[in-house]
Amino acid sequence: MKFKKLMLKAFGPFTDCDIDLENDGEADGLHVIYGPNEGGKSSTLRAISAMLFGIERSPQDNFIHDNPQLRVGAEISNAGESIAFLRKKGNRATLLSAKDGEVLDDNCLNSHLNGATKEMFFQEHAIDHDQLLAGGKALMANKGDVGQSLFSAGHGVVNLQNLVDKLQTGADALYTARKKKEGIPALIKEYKDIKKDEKTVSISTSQWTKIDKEYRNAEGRSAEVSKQRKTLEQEKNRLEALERTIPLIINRAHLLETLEEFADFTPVAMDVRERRKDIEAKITNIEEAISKEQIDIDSTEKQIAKITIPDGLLDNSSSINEIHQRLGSYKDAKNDKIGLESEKLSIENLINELLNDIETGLRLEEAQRFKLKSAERSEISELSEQFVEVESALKNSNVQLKKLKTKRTINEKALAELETAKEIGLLKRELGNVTRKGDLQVKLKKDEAQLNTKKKQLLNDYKQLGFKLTEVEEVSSIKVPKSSNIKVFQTKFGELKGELGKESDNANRFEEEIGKLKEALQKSSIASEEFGKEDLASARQQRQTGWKAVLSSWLEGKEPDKFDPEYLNGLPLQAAYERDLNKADHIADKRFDNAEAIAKVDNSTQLLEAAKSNLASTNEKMESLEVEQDALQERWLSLWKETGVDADNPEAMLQWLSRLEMTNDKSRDLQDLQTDCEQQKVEVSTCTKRLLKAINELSSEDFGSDDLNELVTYSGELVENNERLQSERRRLENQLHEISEDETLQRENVREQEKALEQWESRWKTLIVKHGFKADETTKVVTGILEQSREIFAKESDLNDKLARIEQIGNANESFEKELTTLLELAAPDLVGISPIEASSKLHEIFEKAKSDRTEKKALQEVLTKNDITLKQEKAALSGFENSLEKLCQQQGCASSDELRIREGKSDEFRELKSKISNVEEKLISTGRGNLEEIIKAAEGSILEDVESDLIDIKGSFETSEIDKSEIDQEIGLRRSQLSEIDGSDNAAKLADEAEVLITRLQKQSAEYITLTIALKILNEEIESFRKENETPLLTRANELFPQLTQNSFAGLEISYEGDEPMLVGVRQNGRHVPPEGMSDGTRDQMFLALRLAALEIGIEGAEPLPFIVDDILIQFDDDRARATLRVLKEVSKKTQILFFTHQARHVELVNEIGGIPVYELPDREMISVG
Amino acid sequence: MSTYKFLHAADLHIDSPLRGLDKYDGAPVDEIRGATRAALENLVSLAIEEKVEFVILAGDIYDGTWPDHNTGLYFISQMTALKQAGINVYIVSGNHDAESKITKKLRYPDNVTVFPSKKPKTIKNDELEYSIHGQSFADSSVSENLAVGYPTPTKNHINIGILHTSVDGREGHANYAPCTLRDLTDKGYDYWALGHIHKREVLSEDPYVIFPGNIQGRHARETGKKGCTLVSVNDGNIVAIEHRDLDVLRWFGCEVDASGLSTRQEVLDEISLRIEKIVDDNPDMILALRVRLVGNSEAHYEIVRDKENFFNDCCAIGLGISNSIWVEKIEHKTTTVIESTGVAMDKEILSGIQERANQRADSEEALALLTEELSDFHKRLPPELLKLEGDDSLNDSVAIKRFIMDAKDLISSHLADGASQ
Repeated sequence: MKFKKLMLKAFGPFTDCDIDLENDGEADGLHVIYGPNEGGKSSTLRAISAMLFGIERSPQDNFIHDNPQLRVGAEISNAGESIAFLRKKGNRATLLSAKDGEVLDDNCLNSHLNGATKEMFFQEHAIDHDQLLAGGKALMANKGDVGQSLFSAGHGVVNLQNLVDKLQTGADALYTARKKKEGIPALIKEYKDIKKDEKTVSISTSQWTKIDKEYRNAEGRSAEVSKQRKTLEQEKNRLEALERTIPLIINRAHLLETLEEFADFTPVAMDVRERRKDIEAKITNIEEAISKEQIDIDSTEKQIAKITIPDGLLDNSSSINEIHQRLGSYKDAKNDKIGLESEKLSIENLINELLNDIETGLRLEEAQRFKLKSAERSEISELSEQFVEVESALKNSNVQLKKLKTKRTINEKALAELETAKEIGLLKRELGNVTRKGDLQVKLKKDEAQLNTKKKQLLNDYKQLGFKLTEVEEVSSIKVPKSSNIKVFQTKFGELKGELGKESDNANRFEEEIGKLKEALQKSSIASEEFGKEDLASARQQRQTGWKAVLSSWLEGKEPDKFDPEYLNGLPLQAAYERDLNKADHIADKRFDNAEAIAKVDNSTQLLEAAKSNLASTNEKMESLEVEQDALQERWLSLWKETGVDADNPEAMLQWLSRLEMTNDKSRDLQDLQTDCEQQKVEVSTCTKRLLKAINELSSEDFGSDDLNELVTYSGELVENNERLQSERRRLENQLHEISEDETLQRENVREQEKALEQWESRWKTLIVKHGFKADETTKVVTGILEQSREIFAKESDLNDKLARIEQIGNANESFEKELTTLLELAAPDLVGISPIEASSKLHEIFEKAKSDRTEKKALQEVLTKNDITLKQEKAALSGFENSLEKLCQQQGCASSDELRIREGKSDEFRELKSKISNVEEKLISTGRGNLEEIIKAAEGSILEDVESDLIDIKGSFETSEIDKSEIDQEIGLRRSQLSEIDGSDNAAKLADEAEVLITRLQKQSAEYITLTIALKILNEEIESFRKENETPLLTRANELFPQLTQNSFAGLEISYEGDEPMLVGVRQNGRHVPPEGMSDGTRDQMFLALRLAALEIGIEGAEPLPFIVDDILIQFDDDRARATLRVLKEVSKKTQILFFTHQARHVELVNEIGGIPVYELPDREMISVG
Repeated sequence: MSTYKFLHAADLHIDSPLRGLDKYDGAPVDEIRGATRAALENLVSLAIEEKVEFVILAGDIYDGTWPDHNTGLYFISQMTALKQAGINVYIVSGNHDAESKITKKLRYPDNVTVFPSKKPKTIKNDELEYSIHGQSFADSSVSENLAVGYPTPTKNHINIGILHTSVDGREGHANYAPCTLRDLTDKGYDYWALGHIHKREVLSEDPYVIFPGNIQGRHARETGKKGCTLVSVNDGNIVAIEHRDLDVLRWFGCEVDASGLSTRQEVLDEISLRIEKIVDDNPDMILALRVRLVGNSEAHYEIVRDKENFFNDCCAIGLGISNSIWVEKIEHKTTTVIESTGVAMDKEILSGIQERANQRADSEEALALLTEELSDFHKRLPPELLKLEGDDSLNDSVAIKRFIMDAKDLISSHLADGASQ
């Protein structure tokens, strides 16, 4: 198939853009389609995909034309048939005839595309820059694996290794025989574990039946034991009842006997004892109370008698209280007065001191003249402050003036001492020139060092090559044999070696054959008995000789003893003839019998002879060849004699030659370096001279060194020093100018400030004289006096306050003392005459004592009254109780209370007996069964000892049955719990569900594993098969293309068998092999391209080929390689149409240089951004 | 004349696990545990709700080889629930029950009658005027025609025959207790309650001869609704039969034709539509779906290149539609447009692979060799795992052939894409 025309009707940036690829009715060959902007080119490529395989569902090429308007098509020709179509967007019926717009069958392109899908078309019939790079990388990833490399290139599958790895990794992840804890083996283990659990939790029917049966058995036994126990329990109960009743019955009989002793006795009423005891207790209590009461009354009366109260005190109680209250104030006032008087004295002293301070002997009254008004005071203080300001400003200006003067002196001195600078313009220029050239001398030294090292290395290299040299230069005089010459020797040696090898093989073969034949003959038993053909012939010959002898004796009458004695061997003639006859017959017979074996032996013998002769001739040949070889070797060595090199074989010497070539290359490099060094030396010396000249102009002194580095450093210092001197001079001159300006300014200031001070002094004098100060008083003195006077006036007012208070206190104390004396005379005359404070507090003390005595006496009198009343009441109660007791005795017919007590005792005994009998009977009824009579009857005839012994027996039986029952109950419990565990749960079923999930997963993964394994197998087989089929033609063609593409940097491609596996390698012009990983990226890409193009050519042989689309593969190629590639493409395009897309103008220029290639330029239109 | 209802069910296979479901995130795992039990509980509830007179179970209550006696005890507990509601149960044992060890030792409550296996027996109810005839399987494979020996019908009674049989032989089921439909219709009974065939089927309506199907589908070949048949008797006549669903998880096959769909996404969209339809038809039901992709499609390679991923996408689609959907499996039966065009692809990349794969698949020798090469792997798998759906086995030539075709698709799909992804 070929494109005759591309029709970009409405697609991407294109509107009605047709690209006509026909040239004189032919569309073959290479077509370059140039899109000056990348977008236009990409759109065209997408257009090709769209026209052949349909417009994408969400196209990016609808930014000018809406989806329904998109149209793109082509006119194609295939095997003479031509079709022109347009493609629109949609799912079905997207192909239209370009002629009339009729809908075409969607599949009508399939046959023209050889059934290729879009992916396959762009994979096998297109290559872009990315694929080229990926292809190159794949070659490296394959490590030259021949099968994969050829398959990848052959089909444009750039990432085959990836697919192989993916399949292998997928399979390994699922299963490898080694890994047991991952993938499928892990799942199997999980599955087996679940199955095991399932078995554990599931209960078989037989297990269940067994447990159920044992449960039922135990239930049966349990019922039986229960029945036995019931009988035993009844008997036990009966005996236990008897054991309890028999002692009770005996006890009852004894009690009844005792009761008979109380036959006619009537007991006293039950409450008599209580009543008697109650009355007697009450009497005793009352008697005790009366005696206690009497003691209390006596003691109270004694206490009252002890209390006495003085007269007159209590009557003046209110006056006494008042005086006592005022006592505190009196005491305080007295103390205050003392303090005030001392303060008064100290103030008076202070005032006198202050007055004396102003003026000795100054009195308070005289000082009154300093009492100034507030306005007057502030006027004075204002003037004082002004004085400070004016005076300090004047002082400051004078100081500044002085400082300036000092500064000026210093600067003037420095300027006078400063050195004069020199003219350094020339030196600076020369120095700049040297500096710009860099560190000349260092570089020179480094290069010289390198030169020496390299020279030594080179000399060493030559020595390693076998030359005997002392200087490298000697090599140029040595003449080395040419490679063509060596190759002649190589061929000759090769031929000789080949022939020798062949002959040696022959010799070996013959020797082997001889050995085998000998062995075979030895093995044959017949051979040892000499039944060979020659044996028979010689026997017959002998026989013939004998026969002739017999005939001659017989016919000619020759004497038998005249015959050859050796023949006769001591026998008569007939016997000798008979011997020979027999021998010949025997050999013939034997040969006949062993015909087959003998034939073999005969044959072997013949072969042996032939082999021996062959061996001899071969050895001869070999000898002559060896002679020839020795001669050749001699010539070979003589060829090398002149060089002084020990020659190895020609192959090695060819390699040696290429090594020598490389070394010579190095030697040439070395010469360049040397020239370079010399140039540098000249430059250093020029620079040195010029610098020295510049220095000399500045100084007449000889510098003393011509080292460039030292000169540069020195010049730098010179320049720097002179520049520094110049700038220092400028600085000092400026400063002096500034100082003299400042001095003028300061002098003006001083004059103004002196004037202001004079004005102030006249104002000050006027003011202080007005207020009584001396005219020459300073501001400090005046303000000091004013300050002190203000303090004196403050103290004066304080003193007046104190005097007033002292008078007040004196009056109040006098009135208190008068009142106290009056009161004492009235209430406590004893206290008159002692000090007011002591008298007042003693009076208060005796007054308080009188008050508390009066209260106590009153309380005691009230107690006494109450006690008298109680005593009277108790005595009346006592006589009442005594009457009651007497009455009770009379009622019970007793004369005294003692008699009554005796009767009470007997009544108690009687009642106790009755109660015991009734108790025993109650116990009998409660322990036995039935009524009293029945119980007594049941025990009749029973002896307690017998009952007890029977009971022990029965209890024993009962305990035994208890153990049985417990055992059975345990068994029932166990079985019941086992049965209850089997509750119809679905635990096992759930595990079966889980196992089923795992089975599903395992089967899924197993299927996946098997599929992957088979896929790997098929893929590898296919790769291998492709290799076998295509290796030779593909490599043959690639071998031609690769040198072209690499501009003969490589001689071709080859399969190398050097490693473990055959490997695809590049071959250098010198025959060296370079594996893909040893190539540069660019070369590897070219290797892929060579293979790819070779495969393309082979693939299209015989079939109508599809066009090949090449998209910008030259992006990273330099012009030479790009040109080479374009030439190769042009060559390949003789077999199939190639559309070459580029967006680089440079490539178009190269195409035009080559010539004969049509170029189509796409319209250069501004792209509309589609985001 | 009497009026009542009864239920007819068969093939309970209690505790038989659901097959072919692989767990994945979001799959309704808990909901499907014990599905057969849940279905039986639905049956008991239905019987009590409908106040039926009796329940007929026409064989295969248990899975033959299932060993756990708990299953039997669980069944008794359900029968006891029916007893408490006053409902009788009539059972014939099927081939599985006969094989099961559980059956022999169970003591059913007295509302349950299991028919004897030596000869047929008739249970009569003169009050409601019905007679039930039945005979159990004596062992796991009964080859004689049991129907022939069933008693003559009781006069003026509704006569019901219970029989575990495959009637004329049914595909996929062992031909046990064979008989013809004629044998049954000629007997003069009113209703034949059959069991053994897991698919619901009404063989005849006069008289009724009915397979109710099993009560819970257990794998992808037991598709559709599963349950029992509710029979109404009015004045001594069967007036209505009604199928009632009991299943808790339903299996469906979902065939999707990918012809004309050109991308993987379009195929997924189509699957989504189909699943939505099935969900609409079966609301509130857990569904296990097997998607079968057929047709000649441009998207073929895009799909088979990563089947696992495609499966995951389908699962996600299912979960997106309903959280009760379990995508069981995807059967890849699509073909590629490329292969089908028949256009010769001389020296093209895929033809070699395809030819090689086809050759292997078609040659008995090659298959045998491949099987031998895989045998080490096969030996590692527990034997029960080798067995696949139907009669296939993981290591037989049919399966290997299929794997070869899958392998072919896998390589082709990558190569057709430049193997660059």
